[in-house]
Amino acid sequence: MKIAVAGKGGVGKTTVSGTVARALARTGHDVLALDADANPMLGVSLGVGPEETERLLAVRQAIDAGEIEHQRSTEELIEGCGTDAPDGVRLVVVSRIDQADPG
Amino acid sequence: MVVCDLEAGVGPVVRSDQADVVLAVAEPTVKSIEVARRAVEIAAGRARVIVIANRVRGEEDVEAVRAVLGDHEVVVVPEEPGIAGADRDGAAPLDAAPESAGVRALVALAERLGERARRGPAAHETRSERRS
Repeated sequence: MKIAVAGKGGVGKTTVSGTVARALARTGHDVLALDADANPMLGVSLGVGPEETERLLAVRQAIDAGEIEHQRSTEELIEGCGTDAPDGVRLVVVSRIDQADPG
Repeated sequence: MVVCDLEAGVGPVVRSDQADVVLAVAEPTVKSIEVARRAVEIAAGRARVIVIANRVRGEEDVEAVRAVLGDHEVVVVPEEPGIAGADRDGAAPLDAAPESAGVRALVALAERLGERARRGPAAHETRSERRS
């Protein structure tokens, strides 16, 4: 099941996404949390902390700027642009939703 | 399971045509309700739509959201100092305010979605049929 969280800027999409993702993981599902926002802050709402959230943003910006090669496969993307969040959620910061197809 | 925090606005909804479920988040403001309404309009034919009425301060706020989006399931997340405080402190609401009504509403929603996913696509398709 793929769940997309939509809405106007600043309405609380990230809070909803982070809370739902972790609560889903607590029910025993493998959960991949994708941050497609222009200002990726999902890490904070998932509880990985502001520093790790900043680090992921820096990785994504380096990829967007061409300083790091684009991840060729979904696995490389999840590994290179991701981090482990509480409750077993895997967080990945993506540039565009159309790169985020988990297959 | 995949949970995707989309970019703000309606455009990203157009591109996320693979979503099975779209959570349309709205505050009780005319502008954010209108963005949610457009997002819902795009998503309704192809995904199950659930509206999140966020930061509501009372029945009037819930009604403002329902007046426009009431054809869909509406999950109410009240405005609470615990959730705002988590944002301020850079913490997860689930850790900082697990007992708040808003977090409990979102956890209950996640449990329903998790159960639905476990039952499989057949059950999901049956349940996602539009009433109208």
